[in-house]
Amino acid sequence: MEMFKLIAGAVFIAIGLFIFGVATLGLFRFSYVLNRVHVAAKCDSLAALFVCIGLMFFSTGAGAIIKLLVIAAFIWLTNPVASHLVCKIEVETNENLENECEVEELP
Amino acid sequence: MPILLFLLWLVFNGRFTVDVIISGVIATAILTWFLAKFTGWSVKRDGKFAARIPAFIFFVLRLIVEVIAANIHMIGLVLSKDPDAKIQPKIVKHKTPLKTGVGRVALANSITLTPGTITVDVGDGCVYVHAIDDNSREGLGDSALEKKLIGMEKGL
Repeated sequence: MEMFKLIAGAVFIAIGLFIFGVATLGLFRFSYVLNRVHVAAKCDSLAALFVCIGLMFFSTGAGAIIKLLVIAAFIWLTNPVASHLVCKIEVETNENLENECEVEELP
Repeated sequence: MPILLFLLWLVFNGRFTVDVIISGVIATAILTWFLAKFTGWSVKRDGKFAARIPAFIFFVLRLIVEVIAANIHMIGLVLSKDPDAKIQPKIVKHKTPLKTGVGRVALANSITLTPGTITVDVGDGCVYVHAIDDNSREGLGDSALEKKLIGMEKGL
């Protein structure tokens, strides 16, 4: 049982760290803000969830597990808001938006 | 809501002693009074939200599945040879029948959480979405998440 817990936790944390790595790599591979936000913000939310699940296997007691769940929930609530604000500011302030991406209709 | 606040207090404390419980009750009472005065909280509204908890759990599970699937797509994009050439970024207007503020905010947040689409702005009866390629833009048209939200919004 201990062995199983160790392996499961390690696998989840490894997947999470891999997604974090890809997100960081994507931040440098794309060239424009709106494309960068896609990888930077979203892959992070999934990676944080995986790392939290992995840590649950290592934690003892129900309190720590619920705390990790609360952390994951707050990350999933706040992450979209932050990336949404970055996008909103970019769209509102960039005057040459059409050069970067197709625009169907602006707010 | 007061019960939820009190449980959160107990979880954050990690101990279960008399002084923790007494201070928790006082803090919960103050917060409940604050919520009732400034955000229009009432027991009736709590009941409406509580009735939607099962639907909400299904919604979250569906959201996690969707996020994982879209993340795999995104990882493929990042690891491909020339990411900038493979994407077709576009800002589109997505009409939504959701009426309440809560419903629209939930939709906007779940759109942003699914990789490939970001909500730029929320307007009246529509959301403006920045989609990174055609694939994620098509997924926007008939999203199961939106149908679940519409179902949850009824009678709110």
